[in-house]
Order: sequence, then structure tokens, then C-alpha cells
Amino acid sequence: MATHTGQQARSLPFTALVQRHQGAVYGYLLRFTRDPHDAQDLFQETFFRAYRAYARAPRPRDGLDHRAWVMRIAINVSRNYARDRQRRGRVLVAGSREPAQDAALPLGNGAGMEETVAAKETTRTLLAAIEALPFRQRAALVQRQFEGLDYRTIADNLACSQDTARAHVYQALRKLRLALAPRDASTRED
Amino acid sequence: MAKTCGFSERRLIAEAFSEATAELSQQVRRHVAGCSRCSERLEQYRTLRARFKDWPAPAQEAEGLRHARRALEARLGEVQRPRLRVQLWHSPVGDILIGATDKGVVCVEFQRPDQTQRFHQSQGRHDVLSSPQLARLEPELTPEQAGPDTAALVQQLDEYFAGTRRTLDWTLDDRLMRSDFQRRVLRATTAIPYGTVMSYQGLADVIGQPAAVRAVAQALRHNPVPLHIPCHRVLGSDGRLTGYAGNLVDIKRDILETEGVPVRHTRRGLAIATALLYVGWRSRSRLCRPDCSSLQGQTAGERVWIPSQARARELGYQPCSRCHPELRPLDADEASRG
Repeated sequence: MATHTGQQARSLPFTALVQRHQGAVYGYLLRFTRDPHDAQDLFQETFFRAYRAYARAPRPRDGLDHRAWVMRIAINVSRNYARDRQRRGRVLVAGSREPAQDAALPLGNGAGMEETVAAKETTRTLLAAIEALPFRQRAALVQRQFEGLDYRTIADNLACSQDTARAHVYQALRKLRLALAPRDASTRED
Repeated sequence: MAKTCGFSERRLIAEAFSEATAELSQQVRRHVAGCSRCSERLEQYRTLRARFKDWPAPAQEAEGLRHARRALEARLGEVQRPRLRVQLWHSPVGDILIGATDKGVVCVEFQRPDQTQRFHQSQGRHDVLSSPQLARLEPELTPEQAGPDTAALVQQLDEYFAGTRRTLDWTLDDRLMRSDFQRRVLRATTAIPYGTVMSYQGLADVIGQPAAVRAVAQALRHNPVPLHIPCHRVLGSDGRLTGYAGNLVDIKRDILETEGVPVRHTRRGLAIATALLYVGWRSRSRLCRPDCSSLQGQTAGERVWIPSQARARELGYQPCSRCHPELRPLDADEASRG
């Protein structure tokens, strides 16, 4: 009976679902946005959407429970976020949040002052390049390089094949390399 | 343009990020030994990887998560799943399922016998499943057994079918209404008085969209709260009882007869007996006999059928000065003849 699948899909109370997947969702959103406040907002949005759609959620696959389902919602939410930011970025030429981000930039360990400035500059370039990536490449890169997820999980989360997930990551890495080595930017590859 | 060696950059990435197989790794190492450009790129990828490795873990992740979780719980608390109380009632026209939320009555549904049977088998647990309307609500509502408040609704229905009540004094929850258009149609329908009927075309005229007659009929077909929103008072232009929730035309007849509107079997199905009904002018509040010559130019939006002069008087209608229904009452209107 159709109703039974519905009952089973909801056999896990919603709070238990949140408990189980909150780490994965928050981890991704935090690394995607690089801003705890934004990540918290998107976290709320993700689980709120999940809550409203929970009754219609697909039946969990073996061993997967609802992780991929929740992560896809989180990824959609981060896509809207990126789109909004880009739109706003076009209007507000100077990013008002730049100083705050500077403070969070990674610094070389025990490096001298000059090196620190150079490292900051490199990181800034890298961050700009990451933000400029097409969304799926960016989402794949974040999951692979900053969360250390395997391609199978990334593929589940992005609803694509593992080969595609890997291709997204590689294309992203290539663009980041070009961003850091602008002299090479004119060459074409592959 | 620089001359390319044709070596795939993907292999360099795989090598730099330790994703290459042993075989691929050897290939790459052999190639970069003789290709300065690929060697340089491999180094760039290694640098990139090192930078990612140095990437600081986000500060206070656990604290941020706790914060996010608290905010989420606060938000979810605001939208607690509303309760849906469901009651099945054996009315004179068949079983009726009534669903009510904290906001009000959300649906009224006439039940086929098999649906009733399923309702009882489910012992109220899966009661929503016998109703397509309630199934639509199930994701957002928690169904539960009916309580005293639904009993009060049933009490009013009981009085309505006994003929001692003309309006159901319910508050509604309109979440099953599908569009603003449907809301407009249903609002206009609510304004049709007890014991009078008008046509789909007339209702389309009333809401200012005379061409939307089919859409009006659809809006009424999906009326989530029949009886309270009296879609049974809307008929085909020729007086036929069409399209009452699919095949429930018999119920429509029973309800109309409860309200004193005579219904006859005709060759083309059930219809109100238009020859036995007065015709009112809605905006002028004037009452005519059905054979009055002034009705020639009457638009559908103006036309309302009224079974008796007594009812017309209650609604404030004045007799027409041309056909004088007060002097020549219809045969069927026994009260006025007496």
C-alpha cells in the first residue's frame, strides 16, 4: 500500500534525522560560505525545507538513510546563496565584508611579514577564484578538498555519477591553478 | 601559442592529489622528467594541494552548529504540525467526512460506501487515506480522532438537513483551495442565498469573467467545503444538475430538495423544474414568473431561480409589475396560492 512507504519513510522522527545529519550539513555549509552566520542561516533553511518535505521524502536506500536527500537540499540552498551573493556583488562593487574575511585568511606558519602579505594575497586570489567557479564545480571542490569526502559521497550529494563528480573537482582545480599562475592562463589544455 | 605535449592535465591533478593508480603515477613521473611545462604544472598543483592542507579548519565549528541547531528548533517550534480532526457522519444524503484544523473546517467530503468501509477498518488511524483531499493535507497535518468541536459541526449539519438551519456557522481553513481564482469563485458562491439557484454562466458573469465558465465549473468541482460553500446551488444554464463532485448528482438533488428546490427527472438527466420556479433579478431584486416577457433580455449573471414567493420576500424581492407573480402565483407555489 502506498501509505506504508510513507509511514516507513517517516519512521525516523524528524529530530532524529536532524541529529544524524546536522554535522554533514553544517560542515558543508560552513566551508561553502566561510561565514558562520551565513552557514547558520542556511542550516536553518535547509532543515526547514527538509521538515516541510519530509513526508514526501523518498524511501531511504540501504545504509544511506536520508543523508543524500538532506545534502541535496543543503546544496540547493547553497546554490541560491551563491546566486544571491553574485547578484548583490554586481550591485555593491566593494564587498563590505572584506575586512572580516581578511582576519580569517590562513597565514603561513611562523612566516615573516613579507611572506605573510604574499600569502594573504595568494589566498585572496584563491578565494576569489573559488567564488567565481560554476556552482557544481565549487560545491564538488568544497566537498572534496575542504571536507575530504570521497567521490561516491559527492556524487550522491550532487545527484551525478562519480566520474562527473571527479570531473567537476578537476575542472575546478585547473581553474584555481590558472588563477594562481596567470602567465599560463592563455594556454589551452585537453 | 605554446606547443602542447598532449599530456592530459587530469593525470597531473590525479598525481598531485594522490588519486593516481600506481601505473598512472609512473606514467606521470616518466613524462614530467622530460617535459618542463608539465613538470611546472605538477608543481603548481602540489602547491595548491599544500595550500589546501594548510587551510585552517573553521573556528568553533561545534559551537556554530549548536547555535544553528537552537535557531532551527526555535523556528520549527513556531510551525508545530497542526492537528487535523476527522469525523465521519452518517447524513441523510450519505456518509460525510469532515476535516477540521485549529483554524477551521478544511474539508467536507461525501463518501462512497467503500471509502466508509475503509474508514472503519482503519479505526481512525489511517482515516485520511480514504479521502483524496485529506491525503493532500497529510504531509503538513497530524490526523487524529474527532473531538467535541467536530461534534458541534455535525450538530449544525444535522439541523441543516432537518430544515431548521439555513447557514452553517463555521469558520473555514482555506488551505485546500487551489488558487485566488478559485477563492473568488467560492466567495461568490457563498453569496447565493439558501433555497435559490443560479447557473455556472451566471456565476462567471458575477465574478466579471463571463468567458471563464468552464474554469468556474472546475473551481466548484474542487470546492473543498461543499454544503458550507453551496456549490450545489449552481447548475447548468438549462437548469440541469451537472458535475457535482463527479458522480454525486443524486446527492446534489437531495440537498436541493432539502432547501425546497424541486428537481425532476428529464430526458437529459436530473434538472430543476424551471417552469415551476420564479426567476429573480439579482441586482434589481425583482421577482418574475418564468413566462414573463421581461426575461427575454436577462443575462445569466442577473438570473436566480427562486422556488417560492415567501422565500423571495425574505430575500427582499419585489413582484414584477409586468407579470404580477403576486396575483398569479405558480401552481407549484402552494403557499402563495393558499
